[in-house]
Amino acid sequence: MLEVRDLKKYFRGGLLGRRPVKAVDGVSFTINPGYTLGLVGESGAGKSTVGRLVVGLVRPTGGSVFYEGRDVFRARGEEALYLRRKMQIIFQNPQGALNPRMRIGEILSEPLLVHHMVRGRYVRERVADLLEMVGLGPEFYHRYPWEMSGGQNQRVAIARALSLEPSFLVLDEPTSALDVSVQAQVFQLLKKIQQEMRLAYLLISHDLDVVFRVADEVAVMHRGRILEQGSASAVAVSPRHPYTIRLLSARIGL
Amino acid sequence: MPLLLIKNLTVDFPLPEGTVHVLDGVSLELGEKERLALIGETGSGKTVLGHTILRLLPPGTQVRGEVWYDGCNLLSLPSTRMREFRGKEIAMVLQNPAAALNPVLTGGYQVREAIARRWLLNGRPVRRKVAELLAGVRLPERVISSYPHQLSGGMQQRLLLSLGLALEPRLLIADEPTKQLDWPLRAQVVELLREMTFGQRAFILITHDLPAARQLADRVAVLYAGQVVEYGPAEAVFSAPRHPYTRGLLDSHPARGLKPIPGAAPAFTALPPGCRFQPRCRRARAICAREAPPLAEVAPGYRVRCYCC
Repeated sequence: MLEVRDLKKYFRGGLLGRRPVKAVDGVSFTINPGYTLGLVGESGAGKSTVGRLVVGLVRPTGGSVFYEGRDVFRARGEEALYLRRKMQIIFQNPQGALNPRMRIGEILSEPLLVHHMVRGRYVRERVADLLEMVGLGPEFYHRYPWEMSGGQNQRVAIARALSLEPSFLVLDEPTSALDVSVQAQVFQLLKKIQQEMRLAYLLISHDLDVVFRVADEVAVMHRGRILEQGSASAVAVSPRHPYTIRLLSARIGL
Repeated sequence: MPLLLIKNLTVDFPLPEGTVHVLDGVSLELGEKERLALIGETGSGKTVLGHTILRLLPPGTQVRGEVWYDGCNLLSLPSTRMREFRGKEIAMVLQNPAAALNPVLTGGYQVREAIARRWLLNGRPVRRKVAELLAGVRLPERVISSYPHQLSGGMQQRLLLSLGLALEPRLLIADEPTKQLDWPLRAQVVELLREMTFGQRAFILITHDLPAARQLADRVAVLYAGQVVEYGPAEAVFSAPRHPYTRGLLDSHPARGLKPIPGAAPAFTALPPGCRFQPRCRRARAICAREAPPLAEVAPGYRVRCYCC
């Protein structure tokens, strides 16, 4: 369903932009409906840039992303609108991703109205459904993001992404700002939604414990490149690349 | 007498909605060179406890109870005397290094400033001491002339740690030192903290990084909604937790299954009757909702606040 081919993104760096920073340097992978690919690596490996490129938030230096056969970087008009609906992204810091001047009800209504998902008089009903889907009561409709906990905000961000009935979600460190017990709740929710809607996930995280637990397949990224890719169980049990082995050796057991 | 003895500590924040007990009857002790991890979720009172020991709480906060440090009740000291303890006897490495460091001063300046609190050094001896401290936390010399924004998150954390260690305190308190660090950096910081504390000084680690707590602590206190619910030797608490909350917390860690605890921690303004964990507890009985369980000794030096264990 999602096919990423030889994706590249160079940022200008060095004096007069003469030494480009190769944030992403030839990354390829595919993700199928209902599956989760975990993208792991250290800070600065280029993981988040891949996530942003895939959903079209950043223009690439080279390479392509195909979603259901449509070219994400060349899409215009109707097709671009369709892709923007179908591919959603959840960011690390939910507080920063939600407009503090909007109530939760407005935050969830806006995409519904912009993309004409439901007729005006049904918007309210649909928002209530969305809240319920992510385990929040209808009383949250009138709340502001800053009145809520990090976990609740992340649920709102998930509900907002789901409002457009996507089939692919980029999860960029979705729980690294949250407590462990809240993290487990958010992943339980994401798992449930994935099963119900056959969503494909690109899970970006530096926490290999999380990725091994949640992802079907794992890609290990370092300095803009994928060094190792395989099923989560294979990478967890018998990593091949020296870098993966080094990364795993930094694990602190519990 | 232990180095630090906290007796029945209660901290109240007056809010427009009424007074809330952010810490409620906390009693802990810490021996010389002993290492204690305070674990619990956001809002459980961990950081407030650290700030109470150093008396860094905002004015208007009501503190009751006793905090004995080396035979001195810190809570009854005049503030001028308290200054003699901060940094020299007890130092705290604050949360979020990006915010705790001064953005307009170089790393070297900030380390020198910390040293000057104790030693009146000038010129070469200062430079030597600064270089020593930075080397101790594995920072390159260029940090002396770098501003915090020029350093990575891991380097900022280490710089902050060097400020905490600058006056060679007998008790170091570190608040979430591994937060938001990726695995290799976290491993580095944990190793560094082990080196700086093991057999060297008393240490309180405030964290929800459970693996780091297990690595670094001799004893663990688990906080829930402002109360200690379990307090015992680290090995015992991590391998055979007794309180249902501690079990739930450990099971929710990805390395232990990523199984969530149902529900959410209560707000301090709406605490449930009886046991504070009871609404989320699978093993709750009738008595749990009626009466608050005491923190009872289940083994020597091991206390649990639960009727069911």
